[in-house]
Amino acid sequence: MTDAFILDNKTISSRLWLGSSLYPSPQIMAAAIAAAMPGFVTLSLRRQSAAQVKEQLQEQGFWTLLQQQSAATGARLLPNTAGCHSAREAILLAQMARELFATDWIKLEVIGDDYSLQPHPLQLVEAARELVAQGFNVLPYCTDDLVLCQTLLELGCAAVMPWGAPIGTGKGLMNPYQLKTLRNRLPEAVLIVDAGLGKPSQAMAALEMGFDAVLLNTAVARAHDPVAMAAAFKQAVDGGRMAYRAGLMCERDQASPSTPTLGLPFWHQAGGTV
Amino acid sequence: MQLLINGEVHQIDDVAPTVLQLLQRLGYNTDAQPQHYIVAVNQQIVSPASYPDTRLQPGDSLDVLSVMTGG
Repeated sequence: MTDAFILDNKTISSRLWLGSSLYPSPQIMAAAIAAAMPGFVTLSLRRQSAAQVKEQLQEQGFWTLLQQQSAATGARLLPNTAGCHSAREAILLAQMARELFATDWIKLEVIGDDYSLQPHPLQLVEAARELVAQGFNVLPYCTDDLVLCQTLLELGCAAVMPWGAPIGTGKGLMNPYQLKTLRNRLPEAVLIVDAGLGKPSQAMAALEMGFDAVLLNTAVARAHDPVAMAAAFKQAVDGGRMAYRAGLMCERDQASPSTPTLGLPFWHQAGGTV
Repeated sequence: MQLLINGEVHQIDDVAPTVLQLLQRLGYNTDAQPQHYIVAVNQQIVSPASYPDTRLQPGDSLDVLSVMTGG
């Protein structure tokens, strides 16, 4: 049975999405992308001098290598609006990203609290409404609040991306109850856990739970061996998805033997004597 | 005149330079297609076709953004 991942009528090649930041070098980033084979690679845009622009375009520069790996792996580019604190800022940065990267995809990020990097729900909704109206494929990074996710989907966002934990913490799925609630209450929605994942097992748990994909960066980029960790996350995501589709058994409290007892030569009968 | 370029104050000798003139003076490659940066004046995107006709006034802000790593 095929298991294509369709998002906004487009086939996404993988359920593992990867950030392009924090790697020891652009070369290691490129190798990690090759190992992960991600569906999307996130990137951003910032003020840059002429010299900085030139550096990105060198043979071993970040932009050159990212474009090469995107073409080689089929990974789509997903610009973000990281660092924006208002809808106005996020909308302008999204517009600039669309011009620069020639894509309608945008990871919409509007921060409401600098300590936890928690998204600002009201500004996020305002920005999402405007960007959807402007024809963007909006993928909002949000909290796991059910009503917020419902609202973003009703506005026309292609998916919602609730956090597993605050960005860069590696704490994993901090509120599995709420994440399961999202999956159960929004059965038709594309749900992606974005941020906070630190281990492949946590990514696997998200996929087993029925989330459609995961987006992570720090766990791979800050590993001792980012390339090996990228491969580990790939296997975890593939395994988690396979397990979800296979149908997980129901958890129970009472033990139940898996080996048949019938035919055992030492038949135990309570209180019995031969 | 005084301009804000990428968030920093610059003194420019020219009177009302165009975006094209300023980009060239700052060393940006204005010939490459497609261009590897995006320009905004006073937080409004300026398309490359408009660089020669868009003049900067005292106090204007010019931002030049390009690709950056991101998560």
